[in-house]
Amino acid sequence: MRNRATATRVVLIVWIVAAVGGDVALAFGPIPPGQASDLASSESLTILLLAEAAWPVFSAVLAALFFTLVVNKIAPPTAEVSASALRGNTRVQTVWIVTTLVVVLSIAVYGTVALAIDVPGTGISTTSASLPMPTSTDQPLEVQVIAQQWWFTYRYPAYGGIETAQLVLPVNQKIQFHVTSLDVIHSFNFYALGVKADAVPLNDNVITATPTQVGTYRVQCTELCGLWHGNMADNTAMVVSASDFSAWIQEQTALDAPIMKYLPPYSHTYSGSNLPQPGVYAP
Amino acid sequence: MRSRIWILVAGVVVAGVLVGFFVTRFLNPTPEQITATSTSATIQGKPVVNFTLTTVGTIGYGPHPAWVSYLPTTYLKVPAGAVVHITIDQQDSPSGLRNPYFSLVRGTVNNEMTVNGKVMQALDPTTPAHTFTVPDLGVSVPLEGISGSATQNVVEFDFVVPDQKGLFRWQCFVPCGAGTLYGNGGPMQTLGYMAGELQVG
Amino acid sequence: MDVVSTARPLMSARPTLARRLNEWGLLLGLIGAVIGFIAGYALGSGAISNFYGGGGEPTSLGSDPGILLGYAMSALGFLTGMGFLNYPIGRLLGAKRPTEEDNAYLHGEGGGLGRYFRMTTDHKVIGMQYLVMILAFLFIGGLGAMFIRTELLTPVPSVANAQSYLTLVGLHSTLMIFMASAAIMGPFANYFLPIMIGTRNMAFPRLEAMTFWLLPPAGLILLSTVFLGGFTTGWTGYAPLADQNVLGMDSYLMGFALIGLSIGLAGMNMIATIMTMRAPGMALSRMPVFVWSVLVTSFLGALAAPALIAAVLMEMFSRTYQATFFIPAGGGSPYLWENLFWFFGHPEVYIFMVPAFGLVMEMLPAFARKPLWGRRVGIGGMVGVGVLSFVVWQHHLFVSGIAPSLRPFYMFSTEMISVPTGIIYLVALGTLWRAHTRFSTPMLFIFAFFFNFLIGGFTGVFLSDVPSDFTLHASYFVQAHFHYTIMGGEVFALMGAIVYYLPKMTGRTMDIRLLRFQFWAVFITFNGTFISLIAVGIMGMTRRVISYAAYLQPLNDSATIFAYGLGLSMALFLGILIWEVVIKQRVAAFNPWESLGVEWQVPTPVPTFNFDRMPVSWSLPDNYDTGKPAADFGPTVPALSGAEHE
Repeated sequence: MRNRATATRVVLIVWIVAAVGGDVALAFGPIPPGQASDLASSESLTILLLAEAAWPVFSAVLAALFFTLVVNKIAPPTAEVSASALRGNTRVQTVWIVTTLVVVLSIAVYGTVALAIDVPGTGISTTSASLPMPTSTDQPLEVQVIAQQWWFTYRYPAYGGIETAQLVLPVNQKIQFHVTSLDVIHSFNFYALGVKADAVPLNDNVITATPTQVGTYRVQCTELCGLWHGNMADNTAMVVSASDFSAWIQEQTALDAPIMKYLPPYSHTYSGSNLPQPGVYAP
Repeated sequence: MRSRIWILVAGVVVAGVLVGFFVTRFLNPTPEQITATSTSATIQGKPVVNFTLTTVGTIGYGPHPAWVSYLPTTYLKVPAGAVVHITIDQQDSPSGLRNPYFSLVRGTVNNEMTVNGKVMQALDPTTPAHTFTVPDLGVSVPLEGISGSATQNVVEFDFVVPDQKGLFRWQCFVPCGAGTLYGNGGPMQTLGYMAGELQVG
Repeated sequence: MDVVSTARPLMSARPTLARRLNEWGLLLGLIGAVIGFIAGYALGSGAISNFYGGGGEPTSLGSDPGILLGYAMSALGFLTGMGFLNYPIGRLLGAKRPTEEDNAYLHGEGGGLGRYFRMTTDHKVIGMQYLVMILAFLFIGGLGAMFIRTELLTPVPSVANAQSYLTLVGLHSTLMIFMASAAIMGPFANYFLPIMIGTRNMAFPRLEAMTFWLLPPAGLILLSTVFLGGFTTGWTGYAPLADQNVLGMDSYLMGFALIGLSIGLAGMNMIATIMTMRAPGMALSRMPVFVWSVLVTSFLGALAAPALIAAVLMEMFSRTYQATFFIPAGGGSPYLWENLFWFFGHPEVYIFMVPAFGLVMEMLPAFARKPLWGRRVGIGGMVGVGVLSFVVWQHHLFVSGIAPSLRPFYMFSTEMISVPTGIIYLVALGTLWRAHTRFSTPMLFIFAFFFNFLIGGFTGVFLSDVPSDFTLHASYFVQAHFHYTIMGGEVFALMGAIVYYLPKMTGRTMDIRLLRFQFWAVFITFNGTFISLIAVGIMGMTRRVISYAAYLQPLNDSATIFAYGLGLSMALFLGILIWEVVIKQRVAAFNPWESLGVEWQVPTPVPTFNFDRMPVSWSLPDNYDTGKPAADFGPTVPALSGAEHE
């Protein structure tokens, strides 16, 4: 009996130490996807909070399983379960169900609130007009991501609708990504910014993020899109200062000069017949 | 018991043969690779190597005789740090680009190509029959389709490959897989036709 | 209702023609499949494609209509050759009802080993057939996983190329889905459900045989994609990519259609059996939890599989007659496929899991030597999982751009699922509370089930929450999550159940010491593999890629090395199984776990019609406090002939 009480106490203490220690370690650990944008920060925070909430529960269930596995083995129970409690206990069941329900509901409420605050307006865009060039960093800069088998290209409607094969963004400027596809379903993933949006033909998927750290990043396709899906990634996406960004825009404008007359007018989705005409992206 | 063991052994042998077939014939059929021919010329101090490729509207043999294809193969091998000079005999008629952006010549030396001896920087997006594009190297060259009585357009360009070893995919961006959805199935998604690997080093 | 002894010879001296043909069932089935394929292929690539102008480009391998019709006709030819049409056609032509003798013959009486290779209506034979088939699928799919992991040792293509790698991924995933959807329902529900509810047979025995015999054609058709150029869509088969694929895509579509048919028919058969065939006294309240889980699963299968079959048929029409269901330029929508597929796909994952819950709860009391604690909430939990599973499917589409206002609801409904699954843990912990648990090998697998599924469940929380899903969606985190649930959950339960039930099913058993070593090997390597993959997913590695960022290589290599160990230990399990049970034939004790379940009270081998004597009264199968067995066979009375039950 004493043996078993000691073992119970040890398991309990180990659980408390593990739960608290784990939560503290999580608070100081690097949480993906990092802090490279406001969206990424909010995703990091959500992941951190979920992990903080999940870890004690997870380790508690694990400790209970461990208890039944090991403690029952080394210190077999002396007292038998009473006959009335052998097949169930309404109070315990109610407490368990209510507890899990409360935990789940609070997670759902938190998720909904976080969704409403941090990733508003993501999804299908309702406006057909593109945004003007932003006059302040709070006004979003519109950048279109065109997915096609198997390369992303980008259009900057605020800068004459130039098209590029490299994504460069100004730092601390709110960016509104408009993601669309010319053929099959792709998914645009700028991991460091916490941006992930499916590119669906004839659909405009909008997601907003403000990059906060200058650097070179990776963008990749995260929806299986055919032969070169695994290679539809680019390690040269950049977040640069505002002055570097204008210099880059000028450079790209010069490079695009020979084809500017062929590019179609900027639009949120591109359609056309299967036979391409000048200025129209075929479907 | 002995007969059961023999049946087991036979089963293992059959399974082994099937797995061997899968690995050798399907998983990675060792492709025929063509190696660039080296020259004595240099550009910017880097050695120049040559390739000659042909594009045809119908390959005429193999399991898909009606498919468009690059010839002789799309598995290319070049030395690291070289300037690759590619000559393409373009013998296919135009299909036009879905995204006109790819009618721009990019990533080649001076962002230029030579079509039948004429230096060009872009094409009308309705005219390309194919493109030669290596996305990871930023190289993209549209290949003008033949029109009128012409039987081929000779397109030449140079681009620099990195100094490190690497395997790069290359493909065509013209939806030229006739009869498939968006023209992007069939040959566009099959290695050896409109998709290939460029091995550096 | 004469009193007869089952020992009397039922076979007449001269077998009829139909019976002699049936003896050669499998061979005739294969011949029928070949004839059917040739006929369908000729019809499809000739007449039909000329009329409608088939969608795919004709190649020397054929055209889409030819291949699809060939596949369909070959499956039909296979079933015809096996003899599935004999009865309906015979009845249409005015044949008499089959006699008792005919039924007993079809049931495999006196058939020896041969009955495993022909159409039989004996649910126990079908259960064994399923078990062998599932293990074969598991083996082939596992080999695919080994190739995938080998390829991912390096960040650039090595043993495969971009094309064959995607086919490999598609084959591994689709075969494993085929396997998992029948892994527990197939062998164990078919074998033990009629015994547990006290009936001599299923409600629709021929249909039951057909649900099994649809599997071999489905598997072979899927594997034949290798000869047709493979497919690049993975197991989700998203359109419009599927419309672009070469002929290999047709193998995926037809294979999945047959599996969907099998799941749906099996579900209907099981529902009818449970609802109408229970023995007198076997009230719903006394039904074993495993039977409850089968009931829930059957509803899932019968309701979800039609969505899959519909979606797959639409895709077949897209590929042959250029119907544009999923192509925006033609007025369709890619979202239609996504919705139809996941409307099937999410209940599908509970088709994997719910029978595993039931099986684990069924086995647990035998080792805890205590009644199942909280049986009613446990059953309620499974029903709750089943109901909720139909309203969560859009969590696969959080980043797809579908109406963002729907997200909070699907986030909420998905997170709600952790309440009923949590109940399963409550039941397990309650049962083990103060128990003198016996740590036999199946018990170890049960523990591993709870451990792995716990990780699977908690990783699921991060995926159900929309903001964190933005980071984790379509990454290896998802991949590790569902491997933790399906492999760590269902396959561990399957291995435990094989060890637990083999003594009953075959009268033979496996070496315990080797099995214990195997258990620890598979447990450690499994967790090593998938913890590495959780980490690699958090760091941003996308699913189904052959090339990945170089900084992810160390974790991928660690996953691969553990995966080799995992593959070896799974092979060891198969090896022990084949060596001990098939070759060496180690004889098992009659009731090695001292279970009180009714399945352990009938003789081994189980009589052809299960019960030489029907039980006169039933009680719960877990009265370990009183030691009262589930069925009371009453005083000895002569038994009825089983065939009269038909």
